[in-house]
Amino acid sequence: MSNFTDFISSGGGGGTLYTIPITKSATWTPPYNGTAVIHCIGAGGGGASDGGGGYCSAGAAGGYSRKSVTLSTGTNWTMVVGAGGAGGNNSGNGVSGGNTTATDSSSSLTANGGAAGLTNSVGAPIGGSASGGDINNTGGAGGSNGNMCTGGAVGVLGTGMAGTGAMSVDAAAYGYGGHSDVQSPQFENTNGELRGGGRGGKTQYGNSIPSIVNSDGGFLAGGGAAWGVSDTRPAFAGDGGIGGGGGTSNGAQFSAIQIQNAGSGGNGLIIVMYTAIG
Amino acid sequence: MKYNILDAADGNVINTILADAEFVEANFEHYEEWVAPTPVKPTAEETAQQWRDSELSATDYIVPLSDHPQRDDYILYRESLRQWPSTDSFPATRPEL
Repeated sequence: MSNFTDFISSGGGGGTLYTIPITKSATWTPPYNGTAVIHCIGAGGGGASDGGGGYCSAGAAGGYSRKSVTLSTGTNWTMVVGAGGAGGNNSGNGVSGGNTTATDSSSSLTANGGAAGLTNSVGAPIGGSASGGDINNTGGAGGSNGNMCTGGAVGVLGTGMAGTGAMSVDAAAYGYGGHSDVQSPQFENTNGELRGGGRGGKTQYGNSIPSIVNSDGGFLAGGGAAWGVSDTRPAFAGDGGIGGGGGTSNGAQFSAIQIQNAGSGGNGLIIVMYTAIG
Repeated sequence: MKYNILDAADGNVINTILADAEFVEANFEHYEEWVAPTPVKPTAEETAQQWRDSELSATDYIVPLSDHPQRDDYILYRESLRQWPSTDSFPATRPEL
């Protein structure tokens, strides 16, 4: 689940106060006067792939910034939503996530995108930073120091949970993408607090064909890694949920063109949660 | 749509965003439409064909070696490789030596 529409249709979207998700950049005018909390989520970075079992790292999560504001129907906000970074294919690096910003004449929130995963690298891609809010959290780092690494998660309560790193020979160490720190089954607006995060995607070995296994991260969570064991068992890693980093893809070098598709980072998002209207 | 926002000075990508064309035109001076990397997803047939070609190339040297101890086996193997694409076992089951 890598976009907010999927999340809403999967059972989220409840709540007691007016909530506006902004999934695409726009000049936005508040529909009501009132107070609200604006949540900005940077986009996740894409994971890297390596076709020969070498080290590669997963994408980091985007940053998170939130601020309590007073909204007026006579004002305009410039909302810029970062795009999730593409995952690397066949020994390629991922792409960094885009930055998400919400700006009016008196506020400027920024949630930067997470760094991309890199092939032939043991270093951890860093999570996106954040600024301009009452609360500004750095995204979870991408998993590293292994050849099966998972994406980082967005941090709402603090720095996001980092992804894991494991070697393919160590099955016991296979991990999940970073989990959201605000997990709950329902997305809802409870006095402006963001809840409804999901769990990170599960790492898959050998059977990571999308129709069989879904290793995508939940809302705000990182994607799982994938390891392919043959040309007919390609490695399709999990995408990050909103703001989450993508997992790595890797495998034994069965042939020169064995398919390795790392997970993409989740797109950014802005959520306006009214806390009072009028 | 996805757009790359470019640095005015050097043209490097400084952000990639989700937006309509109208928003990008109104808010940014330097931008380009994001283009997805060319997907590299060979089909099973393409993968099999490449493997077959590599096997034929790797065994070429044996053909003129009349005293090679496994020459007859390799000749049969190479014939199987050539016929493989036109058989029902292609691309799932690879010929074996």
